[in-house]
Amino acid sequence: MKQIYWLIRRDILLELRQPQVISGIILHALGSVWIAYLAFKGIIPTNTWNSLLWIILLFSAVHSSNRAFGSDSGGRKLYYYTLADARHIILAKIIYNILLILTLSAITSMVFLLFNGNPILHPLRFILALLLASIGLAGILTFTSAIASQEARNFSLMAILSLPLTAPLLLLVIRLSTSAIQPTVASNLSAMVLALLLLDILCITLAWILFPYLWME
Amino acid sequence: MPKLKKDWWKITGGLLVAYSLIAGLSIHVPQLPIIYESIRNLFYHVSMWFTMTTMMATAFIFSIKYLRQPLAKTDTAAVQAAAVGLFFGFLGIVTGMMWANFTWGKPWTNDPQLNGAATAILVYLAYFVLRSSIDDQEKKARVSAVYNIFAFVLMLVFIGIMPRLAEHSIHPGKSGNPALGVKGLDPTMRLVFYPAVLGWIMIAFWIWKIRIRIKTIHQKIAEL
Repeated sequence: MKQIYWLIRRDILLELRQPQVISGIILHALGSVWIAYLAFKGIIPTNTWNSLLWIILLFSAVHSSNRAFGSDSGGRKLYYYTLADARHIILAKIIYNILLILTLSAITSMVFLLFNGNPILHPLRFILALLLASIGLAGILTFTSAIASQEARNFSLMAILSLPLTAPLLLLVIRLSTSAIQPTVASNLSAMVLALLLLDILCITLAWILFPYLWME
Repeated sequence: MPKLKKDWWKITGGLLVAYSLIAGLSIHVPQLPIIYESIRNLFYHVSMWFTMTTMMATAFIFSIKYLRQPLAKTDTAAVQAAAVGLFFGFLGIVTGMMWANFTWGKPWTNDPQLNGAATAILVYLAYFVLRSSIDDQEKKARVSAVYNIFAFVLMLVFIGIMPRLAEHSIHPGKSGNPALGVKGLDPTMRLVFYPAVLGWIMIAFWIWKIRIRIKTIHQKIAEL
């Protein structure tokens, strides 16, 4: 536990020491929101509003977690390998990415709401969708980033590997967030939340089991 | 001469497929509204998906085997199984689109099962992109085995569980096994359907074996 804590702390400290990187990522997300606003001229039907927001969130999550393993050099990776357990490393990276994606999507959603209107009727459901999506995306994206980092030219590889894998998660999340913006009561809300939760746990468990095989070189 | 003891399943597979091709077109089928004679496509379309899933599961098992004990042979088996599975996935999509064009009026509709199938194909294409982008043989095998396991489990969720959670689907076979809507299947159709599935799976394993042999020979030539 202590090791995981120190690994997360290290990631956060490194992030804060390079504020230009994180502000670059936030700017990228805000730029996408702005483009969406301009393209739709500010009038967006609720269905489109929903899909558009989640697509922007997905792409900024892919963009931000690409650095989870890409930013460390080979020598430094070897150094961590001798210091820490591989399973602790992946868990720490996933938790760190959950925090990062959650922060990022909270900021993006707020700006999106500001520009494109706020059709949300049940804020709690929407926040739940954001939270569950961040956990699941962090699990999938951290893991695919670890895979893609095995190869030098990895940005497009990361997107190719992760986008189809995020499809089930994204579909469930969009349905949950639809229930947050539609006046009609969704029938199987609890089933959806449960399915999302299980999917999150599944992604993280798979990453936890498989990561040591990637880490050994 | 084929050795009967060793190759019986190849002959059986061929005979079963031949039988299902002929019987599938000639038996009497129930006349249902909208579907009519196109119901015969069930023998061909659904068996493609069964075969794809079986081959993907084979690839999954060999990937796990590879991580437990890294042998080049196991890696080849996993990749070739994925390749054969992908091929049958394409056939499944094509036969499905032809059927959909007749019954639903267009080749593609936004339906959970169709989306699941298309996503599975994208994932396995990504698997091959991943393999081609890593040069080192051992690393390629290890990394792609890891991705294959991760992807296969998520795809099981997508194909096996998601369609059942869906609110509306026009694709038949929603309750129970999504690919197996045989609860309402006519008994005479079952006589063709089950042999067709079994025959195609045998043929797929045969293709898989041949591909492994070709690949092994290529590797041996490269080593010379």
